[in-house]
Amino acid sequence: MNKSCKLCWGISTLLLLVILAAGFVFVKGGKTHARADGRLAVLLTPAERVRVLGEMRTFLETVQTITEAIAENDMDTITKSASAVGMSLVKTENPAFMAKLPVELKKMGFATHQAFDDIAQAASVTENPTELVADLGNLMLNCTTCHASYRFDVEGSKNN
Amino acid sequence: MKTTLMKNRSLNTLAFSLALATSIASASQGNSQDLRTPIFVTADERVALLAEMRHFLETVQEISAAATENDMETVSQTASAVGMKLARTTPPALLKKFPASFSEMAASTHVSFDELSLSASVSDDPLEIVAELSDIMLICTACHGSYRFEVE
Repeated sequence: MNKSCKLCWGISTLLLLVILAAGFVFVKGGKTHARADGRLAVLLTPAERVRVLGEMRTFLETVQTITEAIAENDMDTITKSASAVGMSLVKTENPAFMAKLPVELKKMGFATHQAFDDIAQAASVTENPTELVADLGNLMLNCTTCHASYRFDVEGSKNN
Repeated sequence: MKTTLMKNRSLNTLAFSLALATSIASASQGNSQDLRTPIFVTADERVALLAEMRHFLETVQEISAAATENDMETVSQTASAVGMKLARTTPPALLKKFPASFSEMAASTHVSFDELSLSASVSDDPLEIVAELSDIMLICTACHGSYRFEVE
């Protein structure tokens, strides 16, 4: 094995280690900090916190829109609203932000996005609105569990 | 008569809330700054207020699940638990810190849960419950789009 080939192997190994380390950090997620209210705090930058709170308000607005559409038997609105916050939204997330989230929170986040896609799919094939209320009730268990377990803090904030 | 007055009050507040939320939410879109109006409270008050909102969220989830099963007794009891009797436990010192429009939306939410409880005690139509729940959630989205709690 000549010198340049050894160098290639060295660089490749190093790159592989960096990729594995990045993957590990991404999957495992950042550290959490126990707070007096019993929840675990995920530390974010102010801009990240504003963004993720905005995203959760979008979830709340979507649940409201779907609830109203169920009452009006408007399956088209349900499909469109639910689909807008499905897995397609996950693809817009910043990897640096995702790396800060603990794995359990990520699991609940993904499950919630997927559940919205499932509701969109169900609304496109069912004519029974009550069935969708059940799906939405199950989806909201993710919301209540996540809110009871985690909070987003900014380091040094008075709110912590 | 009393119920009609309560409903009218709720509808007025709802209209106001929607207008407010629409203007603020559209202003907040795409910003990295939180443009919502801060309400300054103590650290303990903030913890209690956030817990109460999580309680609202759990209530909405439980009512959705119970409505699906046509379990109107659970709907009625769950909604009643966060009605005006809960509002009356808020300390007066905290109430003084709330802006008038916030207080109005909060009161309207509690009253609406009482109305939902009443509806569940006389209705056997889960979709009627879902429709009322969706009206309550309009107040939730309006309030969350307009205000945030900050430690003073």
